[in-house]
Amino acid sequence: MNWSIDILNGLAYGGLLFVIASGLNMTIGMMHRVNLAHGALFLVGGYLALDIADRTGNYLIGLLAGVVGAFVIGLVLERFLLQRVADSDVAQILLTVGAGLLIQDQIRARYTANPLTPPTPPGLDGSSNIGGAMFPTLKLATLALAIVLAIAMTMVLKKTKLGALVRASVDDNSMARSVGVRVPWLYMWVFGAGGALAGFAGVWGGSYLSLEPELGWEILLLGLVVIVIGGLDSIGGAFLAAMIIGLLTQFGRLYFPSFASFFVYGIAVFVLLVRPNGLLGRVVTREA
Amino acid sequence: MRPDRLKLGGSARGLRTALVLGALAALVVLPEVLSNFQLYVATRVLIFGLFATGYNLVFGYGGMHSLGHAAFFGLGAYVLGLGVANYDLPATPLLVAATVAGAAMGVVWGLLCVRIRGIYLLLLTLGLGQLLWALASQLVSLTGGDNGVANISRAGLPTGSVGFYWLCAMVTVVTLVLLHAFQRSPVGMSIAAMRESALRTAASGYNVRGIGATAFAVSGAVCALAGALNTSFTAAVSPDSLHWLTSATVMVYAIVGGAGFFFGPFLGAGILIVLEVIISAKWSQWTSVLGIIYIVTALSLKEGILGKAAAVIARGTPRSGGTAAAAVDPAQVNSSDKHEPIVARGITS
Amino acid sequence: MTDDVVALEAHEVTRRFGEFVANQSVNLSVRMGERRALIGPNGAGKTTLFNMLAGQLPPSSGRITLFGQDVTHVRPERRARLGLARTFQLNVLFDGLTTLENLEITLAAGDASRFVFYRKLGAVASIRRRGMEILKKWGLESVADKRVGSLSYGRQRQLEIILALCRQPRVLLLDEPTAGLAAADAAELVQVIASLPRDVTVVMIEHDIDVAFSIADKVTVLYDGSVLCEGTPGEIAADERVTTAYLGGLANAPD
Repeated sequence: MNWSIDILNGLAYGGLLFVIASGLNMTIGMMHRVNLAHGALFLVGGYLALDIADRTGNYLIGLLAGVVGAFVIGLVLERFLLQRVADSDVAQILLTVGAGLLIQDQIRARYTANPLTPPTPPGLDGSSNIGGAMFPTLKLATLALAIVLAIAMTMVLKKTKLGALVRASVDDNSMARSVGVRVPWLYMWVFGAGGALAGFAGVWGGSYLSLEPELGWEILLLGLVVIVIGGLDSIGGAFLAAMIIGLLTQFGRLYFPSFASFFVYGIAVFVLLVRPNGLLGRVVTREA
Repeated sequence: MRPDRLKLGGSARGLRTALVLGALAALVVLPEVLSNFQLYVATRVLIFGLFATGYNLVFGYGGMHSLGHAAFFGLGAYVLGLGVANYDLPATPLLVAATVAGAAMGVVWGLLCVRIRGIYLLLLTLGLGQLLWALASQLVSLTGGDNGVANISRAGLPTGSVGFYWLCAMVTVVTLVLLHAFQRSPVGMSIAAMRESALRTAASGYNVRGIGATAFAVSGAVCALAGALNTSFTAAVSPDSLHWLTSATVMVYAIVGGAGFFFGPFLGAGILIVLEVIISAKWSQWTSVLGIIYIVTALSLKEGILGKAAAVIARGTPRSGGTAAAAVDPAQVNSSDKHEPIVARGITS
Repeated sequence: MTDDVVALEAHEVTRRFGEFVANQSVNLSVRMGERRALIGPNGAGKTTLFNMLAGQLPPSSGRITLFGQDVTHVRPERRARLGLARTFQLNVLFDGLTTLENLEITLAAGDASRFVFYRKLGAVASIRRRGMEILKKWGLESVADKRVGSLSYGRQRQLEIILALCRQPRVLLLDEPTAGLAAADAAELVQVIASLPRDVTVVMIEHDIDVAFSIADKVTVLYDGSVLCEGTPGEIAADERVTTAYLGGLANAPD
């Protein structure tokens, strides 16, 4: 069935989009940091994994290096730079775009601007038989991974003490401080985690998309669109939005090939105008 | 970023007059002393200085943090580029058409964006800008897609580098003079009032939506004019002119020079463009340097170069006599970055 | 009460914030020239009612009229131009602009000057002259060129009132005008309000019962979002329901 394969392709692309957006969901959505370095952290993960896996011949070591590298950069970015401009959106833009340019340019200087493809995760490079049709295993795995990631993130944030602390600190920063939460320290780890997710997306998505230095900014925009449509801080919303965009892009390519990205931006703008909290975002009622 | 919060004393006002006169004199002398390439750079500074000054009406003066103003620049660029390349129209009326188109789009943006603040405004303007970018990249038959259009003739505008420099200098000076007068007029001051408090502006009897639309319209017109000039200047237009990184660049120009000052954005554009020319001629990693400049600006130059300069002048002014009372209070200089609520749709919601 | 004309009226006005009901079926009818005090314990819904009367907040249901005209869905700037002016409980001023600029911007909003886009604000018609006159009258000339954000709290409070008065409003809404003022300044302000022309309608929220009773022709008591009772200061002072309802609230109120 052609249709079901198209749907599956769309959902798999949606899965990749969710993996890309998950880190932004934490840094922009939950922490309210205007993190425009997300794409650069994606590149750090992808290129480090590629480099280290190449040197060691071990995919897992590469994966680990990519994730840890992006984690550390995220940690440093938050603790030593972003926390000094916590009250200014504009300064956060400058800082994160600046970091993004620096990282992108250093990657270009080191790895050239030519596209490079990191290795596919071992065991996932073949095809699987889905009801008689062959479908790339990597794509199926990406969809499964997105589902697992969405559930895991929701569980951590909703069910653990760490999640409660993070939500409390974002909702009422000074209150959290006054009851002894070390907010800057907590933020550092959460932003680091957001960076690690970006890095992981780079390792995983790199084998899907091929890496080049300019890709970082495109990844950032894809992630932004997903969390804007879903509702900045909603993991479920981001998942839903990622699937919608995945399907729309897949079918858009078939029926109106040149306008897929126009429609995607159009939806994001429309959502911002009529429902700024996104499809599943928290509705904040403010009292006068 | 609060424009004109600094009430300079008499000596500083004299200094400002002297600087403006000096800049005008330099503008006249430059074609005599610069090489052809240097004059090319100077023309680029004029065009992007105009762009940055127009942007700052919304950004620094209006307090609305747009991350999508490349859309206006690019709109003007395409109006002129396509008008000349596809329809063989003369450039002069196209400059006017580009300006009008920028104003018209500004009205729409202003109505959409007014009352939206903080990260939502950044994302909305970013999205609106990218919408145009996507359109320009995908309407291949009209725009040439990602490659854009090249070899666009000057179509009636001066073809020589000196002549074109003079055209840009005149357009820029006239526009800046008009814009400066506009900012001090009742309509202009109502934009500053809205930056300070939309709540009181409305309670005083001003139509806040109208003010937002006006600010974006005037700003959009100036940015589109700059974009149109740039197409004639470079003889080419591409979707890059609409890309959000161009919006980020013009935001940086404004901040580096000092978004709280009328001439800050122009100065920022001049400094960064000249730096780019000098450094990238010697080293392939200009982008890295630019990244570091962004970071340093965010951390320690939020008031821009003019903000720093004003603070230094203020400290140097003796506190005696009538004018000293009006000297700059350094505490005020630093108090500018007001925290803004994540989303503020008026008093409701 | 110079006239039988009703200046400002609220009919069955209700405002909800999600589950929370800030005002429930409030009826209020203020005659032209009347001085009306709005009192009630904290959280009684006084400021929410003010925001609906002045247009900052739309009611969830009910109707508001200004000189007989339905203004329920009229935006605040239109109401301002119909002659309604208000002050805010916490100072809301153009902090980054000077005292004179604050005044000139407010004056320009009153007539066609607000559409002038080519001449300097201070050079338009009589705006600079009127601005300076008002500053002189209130003894604010020395701070004419100071940023309002750098003025003392008392000066800012004073400017709130001046900005509300400067265009000769027909209806004046004052939200706790004396809050935070030193006793002498507060007394002076009460004097100013008391000596306003009698065709100006004044509605004021006031925590200081003495101030409220000394100025008001009539007092409305809000409790828990609704009107508890209404009457002359004498009637209200004698009303047992007010004392009962108010005891808890008053204990926390200033004075």
